[in-house]
Amino acid sequence: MKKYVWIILCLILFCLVVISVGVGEAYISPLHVVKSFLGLGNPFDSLIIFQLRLPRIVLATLAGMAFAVAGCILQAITRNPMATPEMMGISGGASVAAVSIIMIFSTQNDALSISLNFLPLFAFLGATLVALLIYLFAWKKGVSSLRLVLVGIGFYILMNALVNLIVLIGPLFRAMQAKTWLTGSIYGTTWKEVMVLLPWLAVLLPIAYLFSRSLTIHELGENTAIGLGMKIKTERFFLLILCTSLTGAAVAFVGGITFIGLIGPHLARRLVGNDYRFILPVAALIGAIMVVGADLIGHTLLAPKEIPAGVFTALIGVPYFLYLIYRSKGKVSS
Amino acid sequence: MGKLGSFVGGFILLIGLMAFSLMVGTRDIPIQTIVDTFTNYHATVNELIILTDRLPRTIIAILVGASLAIAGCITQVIFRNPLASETTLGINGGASFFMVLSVTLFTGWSLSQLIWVSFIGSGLTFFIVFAIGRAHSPLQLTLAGTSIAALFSSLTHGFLVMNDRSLEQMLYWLTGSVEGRELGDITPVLPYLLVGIFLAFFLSWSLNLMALGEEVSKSLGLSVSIYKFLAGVAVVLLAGSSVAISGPILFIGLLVPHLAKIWVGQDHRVILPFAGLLGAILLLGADMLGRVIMMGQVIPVGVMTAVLGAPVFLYLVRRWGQSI
Repeated sequence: MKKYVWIILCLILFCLVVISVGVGEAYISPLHVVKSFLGLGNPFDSLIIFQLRLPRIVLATLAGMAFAVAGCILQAITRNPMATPEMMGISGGASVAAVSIIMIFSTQNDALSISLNFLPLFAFLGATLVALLIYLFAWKKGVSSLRLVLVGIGFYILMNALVNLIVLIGPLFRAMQAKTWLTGSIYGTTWKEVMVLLPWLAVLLPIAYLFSRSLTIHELGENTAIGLGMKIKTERFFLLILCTSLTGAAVAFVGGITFIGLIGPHLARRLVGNDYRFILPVAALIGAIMVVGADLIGHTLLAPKEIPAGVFTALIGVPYFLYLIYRSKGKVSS
Repeated sequence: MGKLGSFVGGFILLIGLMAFSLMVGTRDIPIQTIVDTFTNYHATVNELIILTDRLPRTIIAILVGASLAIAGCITQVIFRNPLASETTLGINGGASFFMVLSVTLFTGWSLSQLIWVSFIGSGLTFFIVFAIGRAHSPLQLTLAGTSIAALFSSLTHGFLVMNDRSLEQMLYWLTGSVEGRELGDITPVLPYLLVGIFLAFFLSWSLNLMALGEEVSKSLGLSVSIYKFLAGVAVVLLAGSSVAISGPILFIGLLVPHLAKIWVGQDHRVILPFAGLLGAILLLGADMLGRVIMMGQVIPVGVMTAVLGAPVFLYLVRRWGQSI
């Protein structure tokens, strides 16, 4: 069963990528897309595919994976299925940092005056700062997961306000682009962005996978974890940093694509059970599928207008979230 | 300080703030000119500024602040939840999304038509949250509301991005602002606000009973569902018309009820008017702060209340930390 899940998800992702690459102002049939992938297509198709369309799709895939894995980690360490980097203001912290950088260091002709490489770093710092503040404010003789989530919501609202503030007081000509970015859009991606994001994820995702066993134990509860010989506080802190760096790196490039960190882990748990060794990769695949899918819908539905992908992930994510809350009726988790 | 003292003090503070609100801004106007505007009008530049800019925004801030605070009090009783408010339940967000939708789709509509759209938006959100979150803990209710707010805000952003609207027009619906309205804009909204406020006062005794819990209020002969429905109508009227005129202003409805209870106790017949007073003071104060805090740059009052309100929200969460 689990093997089939893998194969099916990979197939879905592959199909989506092929369709996504084909659709656009110049339509390329799936057959030609696959030919180009294999190096047999005509040079014109290959140029469109590899130079114009593929970077965007690769970025969507990577970001989806990062969001989903970050969500898995956060849910495991807070032991709360409702915890997501978006709703707890962690993505918001990354957004505030990234928007500030975009506003401060952008020149008149629409370019950043500092290297693009700094963007994920600052976004990571913003996300980490918010995560630490949440932890600090939720601390009251220990951290209860309920308080953690509620304090997170407070930060979520605050970060939204700060982003609006920065956009409003910044130069007007950047504001529109910042807004587009904040709603979650990957329009106009080139290999340059992909190449900045890729090293982060190439390091962080394997590390996350190495910790998958300890995530499973974290979710069982503090006492079990201590009983099994885990240094719970140090490890929880390390995992939190892992979560913020994944979130920060992804937010820096795709902006506010929301609710991937919620749906990815939940669907994965339904498909493969409670062992994070299986949850993490499956959630990552689901995350990638969702972002690529949302982006595909976003640029085909009202073409040539672009609808930010974040709108669709929120449209799927929020009803699901509400369903989760509705189902948990009466249950008081602690 | 007695209850009467609190009221008198509040009124004096409000009147003082009103005077300041007319005087302070990107251009300072002496108090004599303000008096002249109303007694001896000559249409000088300063007098025009007062009539077209400062006076409308002052009145709107007072009306909206009072309405949101009263709506917040009622919401907390209906949901029996200290964290419930138009902000945390997404009612503001719902109303402003519907406003954005109709402002862009039906360009010719006037405010007296648009306000109904705002009512539909806030009513719909209220209903959804009520249906989902009724029997839930503060955490779940807040999560449900915030996620609905997040959905609406994402839709709002997406819609605005697609329609290439100018930032000035977006400002209202993204952050909430009392800027750029005229005196004439208040007239279509005022009747609904007043009906909402009167309905709230009419309900204040039954709110006391409802706050005791459904069982108690039933045994005391209150038909809970009817009163809950009426209270819901009051919230929708108040929150909907507030959003119609000033966009989604956060946190007033969450914070003021708590502050009011600290001051004047648990009787809603006293809480509601006092919360209204306090809400007006806070919003007017926040708006003035937004005008002077950065040189030559007016910060929308919605941003100010969010920045000022978030720490208090965190404090509330910590205070109720044991029980939730």
